[in-house]
Amino acid sequence: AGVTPPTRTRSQNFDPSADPDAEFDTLDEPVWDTIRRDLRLVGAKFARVLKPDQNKQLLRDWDLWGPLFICVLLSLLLQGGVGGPHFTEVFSITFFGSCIVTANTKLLGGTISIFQSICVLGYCLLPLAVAAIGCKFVAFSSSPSIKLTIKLVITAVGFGWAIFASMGFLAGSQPEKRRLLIIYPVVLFYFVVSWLTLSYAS
Amino acid sequence: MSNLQFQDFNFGDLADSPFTAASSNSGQDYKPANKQHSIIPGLVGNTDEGSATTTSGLQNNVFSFKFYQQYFDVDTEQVQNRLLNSFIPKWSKNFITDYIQPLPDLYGPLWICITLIFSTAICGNLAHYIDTNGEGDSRPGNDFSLVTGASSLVASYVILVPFFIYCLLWYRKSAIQYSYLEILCAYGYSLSIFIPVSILWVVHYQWFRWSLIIVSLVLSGTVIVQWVWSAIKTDSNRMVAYGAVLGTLGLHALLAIAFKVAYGAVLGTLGLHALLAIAFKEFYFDSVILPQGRSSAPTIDSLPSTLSPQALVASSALAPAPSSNNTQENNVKGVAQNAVQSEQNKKPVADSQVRDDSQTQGNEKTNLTITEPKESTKAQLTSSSNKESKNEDGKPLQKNENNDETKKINQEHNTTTIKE
Repeated sequence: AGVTPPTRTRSQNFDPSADPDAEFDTLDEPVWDTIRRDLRLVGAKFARVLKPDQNKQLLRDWDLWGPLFICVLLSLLLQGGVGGPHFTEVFSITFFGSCIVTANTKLLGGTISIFQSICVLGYCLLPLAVAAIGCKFVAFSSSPSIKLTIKLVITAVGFGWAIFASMGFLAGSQPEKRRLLIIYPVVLFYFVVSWLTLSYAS
Repeated sequence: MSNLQFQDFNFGDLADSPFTAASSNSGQDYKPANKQHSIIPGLVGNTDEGSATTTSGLQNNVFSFKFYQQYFDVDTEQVQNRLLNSFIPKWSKNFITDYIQPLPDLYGPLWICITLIFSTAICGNLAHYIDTNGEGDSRPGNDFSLVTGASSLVASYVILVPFFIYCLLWYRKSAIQYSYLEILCAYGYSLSIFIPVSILWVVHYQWFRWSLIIVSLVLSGTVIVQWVWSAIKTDSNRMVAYGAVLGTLGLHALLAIAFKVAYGAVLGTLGLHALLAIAFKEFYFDSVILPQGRSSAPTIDSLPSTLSPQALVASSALAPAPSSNNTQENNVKGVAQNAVQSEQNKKPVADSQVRDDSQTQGNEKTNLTITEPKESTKAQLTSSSNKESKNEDGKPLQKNENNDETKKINQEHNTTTIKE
């Protein structure tokens, strides 16, 4: 709930009926209303990731709830198993991995702010989370080689989608001579998460 | 804002600072005259830099973002250049003075190490998967630990070995004193050849894997040796040894020290590089043999402990070896013998550690296959053919094994890893 006020003041999704003093009125509203509004915002961002059309909107209203949900979901799906990673390991890779990639972008002179970048990278993990869920359901089918092929296809589609979505968001914010230097860690990050999904979602 | 001016001055400072400007004097003896010695360029408290005094305060602040940003000041083209030249040895060219100075970067080493860690782990798992023909869905017990093990290995290599080289060059007051970051940068880029090599290591032919190691070692090792040698070859101690008219024992001792420094540094870096490559191959790609559900790749605690003392013992074993022999050929033989002996000396240590782990699992095959990678190369080539014959015998046996037993072993292994 500590994140809500900033997004509210910055958000373009104000209730048309609200006036500038509306932020103080939200203290009195029922908790369910607050949660529902936040969930709606997060859901809207999910939809925008799945259909990347409006670039600027997501960059301006950053929030970290979505990335947190997605990282926790991925960690729950991929942890455990025989010799697989623990919850902490997957969570560290996803969450702190996106922090490291963000730090890399900033150090190379990108103009995107830190939290916006973490937000974008986290939201674009959504296709991979969907792929992980898909792989879990595939595990209930029959022959191993078909299983592997389906998992490979699902993960590859998730990987491609994640790259495509994040490129759309990160495109304009990089210095020209360092594009490849900034893009490569993003690709590596999604590749590693895709490998984790392919290997351990079953 | 004065922040905007910092960037300009930063570059000017670094170009003038004594430890990043040796490129103008490459080939000449260059001694850091009156400037303050610094391990890391940019951290110097240069007050004689005139107009940069006001900016040098913020430049030195380790906690500011700008301090780290100055080490990421590279373009794509520069990174590509450094990458390509790190494993293409050119005659009488110095990698550091030609490509890294005046401005070392941390982008290359950081992302090359991360890529190497994940490529080793991913391709190691892939190789294991292919070798077992994807039998069953049960993963071997140490799958994800390949990532954590590889990261410890690579990180300690890239951070510690340049530090030792830096200390050596500083202690001997060598002709060219590279800064620590330059050496670290060179080492990071030199690891880049192992990335395609680790991908090619998936192919399961021993001779192919060994030839890959040899080729990659020759290429990147030559580049490393070139800049190490050009820094240490004018070590004044040799001149002192040759010219001095002291007692025979004193002259012999000084000569021995000069050889140790001049050749030991070169051979030491080559040896460590070789050890790293061999460690990758053995621990991540050849540790296949065990029955289903249990990989013979050593667990995390045994991996760094058996490797890093090994590396240190090997490198320190290189040091006394030349002192007893005068010719270079004997040096190389002594090095090889010492390296093999140190590996075999480590076997009992590794065995006892592995026995502690395997007592909870009661699997004596673990010991066999873990000690096998530690044998010398010739023995390994013969034992590899034995391994393969064992595989074919082992496979029909595996199918007759009880699934419950393997599950119990897996669970016990899981509990041991969680306890760790």
